[in-house]
Amino acid sequence: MALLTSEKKFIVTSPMYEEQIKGEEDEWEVIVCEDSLEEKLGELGSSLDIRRCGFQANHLSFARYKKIKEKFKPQLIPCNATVEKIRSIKDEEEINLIRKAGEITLQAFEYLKKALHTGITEKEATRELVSYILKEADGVSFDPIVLFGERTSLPHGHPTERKLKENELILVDAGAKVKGYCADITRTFAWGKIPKKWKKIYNLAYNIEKRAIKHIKPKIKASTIDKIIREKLAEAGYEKKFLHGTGHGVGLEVHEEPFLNRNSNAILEEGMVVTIEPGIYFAGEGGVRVENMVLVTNKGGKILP
Amino acid sequence: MVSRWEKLEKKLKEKNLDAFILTRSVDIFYFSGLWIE
Repeated sequence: MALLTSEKKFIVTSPMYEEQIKGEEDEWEVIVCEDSLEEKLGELGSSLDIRRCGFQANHLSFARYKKIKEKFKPQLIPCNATVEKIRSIKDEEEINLIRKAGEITLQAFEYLKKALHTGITEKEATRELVSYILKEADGVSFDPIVLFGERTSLPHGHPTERKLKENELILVDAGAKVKGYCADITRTFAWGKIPKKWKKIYNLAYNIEKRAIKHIKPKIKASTIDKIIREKLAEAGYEKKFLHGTGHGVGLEVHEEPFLNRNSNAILEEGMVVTIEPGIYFAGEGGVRVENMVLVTNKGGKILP
Repeated sequence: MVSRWEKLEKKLKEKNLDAFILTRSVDIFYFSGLWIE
């Protein structure tokens, strides 16, 4: 845990991290504590000249809050998404790391395409994808989604022993991680010849994605981007086939502020990196999703990488 | 360029806060560059 004041910044941590942070604590006073970190933080807060101290109400369990409060004399003020909103605007270094993670992800998709063969299972294909990402990046942003055929209708399906057959859809949703920064990209491929219905649906999702990205600019409501996608899907009669939100911020977490959905109050700002991911899903038949990461610039939305 | 800490400090002033507790490793990393819990 950390306590930040205008005078000093403290980290309260367990001996497990003592060696790891040696030499890196120039700006921070590190307090290593063998017992309860919450109690130690409480004691520390009480020893400083603090009246009102904010905490991350949406990321602190009631049990931990109670433990801190037992010893913490200043008033504890619950705050929601304070840090998340700061983190939602990326600086150049962060954008470059997300771009790099995106580049590796797209390279991994190309590698996977070459490794695919009829009969490969979703799990085997996932292992191929992950092996490439682990060679080129620091890790994966999340457990990849690699689905074949009718299973592509599962927006967050887990890879199984399902084997790839001729003439069906493949959906891959994955991301590499570079120096803590995530990528999140989805592609839907055809393996062999697929019915015209799927080509039509793919083109629709692709064009809706392009249209939504054209509307991205600073000061636009996140809910407006979501509405644009839903209206175009409704025109085609597929509004009920879109089973999730339009997108989310990407950064140190793969899903972070701002969230783009119909209930979102977020306003897009320059420097945000968000996903735009329209999907059309037919239960038991299959589905299509197109997902790109988009940087909000003062000239509009720019796909990363 | 405004530092990450300065951005938080501005928010704290808006909310009339003297201090802030970070409880998630991802947020501690953002401000300190240290991956710890």
